[in-house]
Amino acid sequence: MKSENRSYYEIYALGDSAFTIEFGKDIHPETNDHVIARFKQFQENPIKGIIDLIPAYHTLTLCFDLTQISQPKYGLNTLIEHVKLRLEEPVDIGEISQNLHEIPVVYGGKNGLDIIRVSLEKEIDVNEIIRLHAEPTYRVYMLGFIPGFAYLGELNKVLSMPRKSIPQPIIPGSIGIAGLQTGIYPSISPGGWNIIGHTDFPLLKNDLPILQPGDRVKFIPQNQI
Amino acid sequence: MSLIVHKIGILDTIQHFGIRGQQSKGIRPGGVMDLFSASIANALVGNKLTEDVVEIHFPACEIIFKKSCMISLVGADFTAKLNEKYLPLNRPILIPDESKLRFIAPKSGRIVYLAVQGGLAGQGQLEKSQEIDFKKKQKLTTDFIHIFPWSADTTWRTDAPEIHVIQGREWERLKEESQRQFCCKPVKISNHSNRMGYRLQHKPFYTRTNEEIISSAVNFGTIQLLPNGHTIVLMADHQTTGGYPRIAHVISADLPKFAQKSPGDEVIFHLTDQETAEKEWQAQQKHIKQIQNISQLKLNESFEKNSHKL
Repeated sequence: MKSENRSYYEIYALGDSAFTIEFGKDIHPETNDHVIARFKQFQENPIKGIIDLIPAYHTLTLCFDLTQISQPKYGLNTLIEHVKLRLEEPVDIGEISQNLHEIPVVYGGKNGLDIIRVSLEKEIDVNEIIRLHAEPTYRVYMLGFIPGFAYLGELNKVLSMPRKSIPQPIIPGSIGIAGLQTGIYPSISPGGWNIIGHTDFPLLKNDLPILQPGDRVKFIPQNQI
Repeated sequence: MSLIVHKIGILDTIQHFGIRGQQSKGIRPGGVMDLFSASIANALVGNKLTEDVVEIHFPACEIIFKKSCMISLVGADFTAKLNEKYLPLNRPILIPDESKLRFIAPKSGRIVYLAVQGGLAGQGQLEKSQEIDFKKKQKLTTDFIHIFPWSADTTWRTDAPEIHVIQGREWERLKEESQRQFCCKPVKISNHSNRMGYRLQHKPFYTRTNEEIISSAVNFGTIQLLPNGHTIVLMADHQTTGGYPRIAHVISADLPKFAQKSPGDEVIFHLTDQETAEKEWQAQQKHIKQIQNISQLKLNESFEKNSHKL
């Protein structure tokens, strides 16, 4: 266990009923360790008025009950002062789960059509895209979006693609890429990521996510196109 | 209390007031789209403000009440009819056994809330009920429908187009001309709108950078900028996180008004600050509380006065 006290953070408003603490600028395992540690700190020792915590890659968002917070005697600024004091306290970067999941992927085909577009846009052979995508052992940085969706990083920079202009319907088991992120859609959902493959790997067990923050994921290609 | 869905409305649901504390697992809060109308519907029948309600869109469901009960309708005007009598909005109404509630035509607003005194506990999903064939039942009666002689002031949910927003993290990405366009030019609600989000129709916005952002939390009311320059406002069933730039957020006090906008309706965004957003919210909560207190008082008085008749 190492104890850490990161000095860098920035707080910004996420509407009038939530704010986000940003602990870094990039996708980085150490930043994410810190996010998870701070999440646990606020979860174990709740602050009055905070009703939800949303950890992400490099941010932790605190949602608050506007009715409690907007009382003249309390107020958002007072709440943020409380939070800042908490951030002064060092946190333990505890034992984070590190299970390795090997996930079989069928790249391309009718359930991975966007691989063609990625190939054309990047001028990279489809087989090379598969190799580059399956090469790293990814880290599960966060859960979010919809139940069971695990955000993985970090994707090879060569494969970095913008999100689609308009979110499209996406089927369960779809493997998507966007920016330096990759992930698997656990259920039908609209989504803006580029879909390059498909897996039958179960992502939910009794409605609970199987992949946990800190876990490792290795994609195993099942075919060549 | 026995409520039977005679005909389903595709989008109609029984709604709670949001699940909290589960977003770290990707479980969205969900809940009613228009918190103001739903709370007042509950207040009118003497429920706690956060009792489950039926959220009704048009084309709407038809509901049969097996037993006499007290109901209220608040929000959109869909020309509600109980048996053969038109029902007003914003009032407590006593209805007799074997009543049928239906909605004839949408006149204003997008969502109406039905609250039932004592709540909807045990009703579960709003699915078509198999258990009766209503046509075989006796003639619908308009006798014994009692509309109480007071109504709640819901003018907060005005039809005015102004919607107040707070700047988002990526506001500065918009070029100045697009910032100006966003702040004062009307935009239209698109047909592609549902409980997850309302898409907006406007001239595309231009940005200084298209750099991809790292996904993080989003909120009810977050206005995301899509790469094609269009925008989407995240609503009650929004995902917990997202990666499109967040240019602004609708303030909590204006979300009910915004939720009631139908496809084709115009809205005009106005920038405001946290302090104003909090004041507006406090004022709105106070208004709901007042309606709750007055309703309780009037209901009590009315039952005392009429108790000798029962």
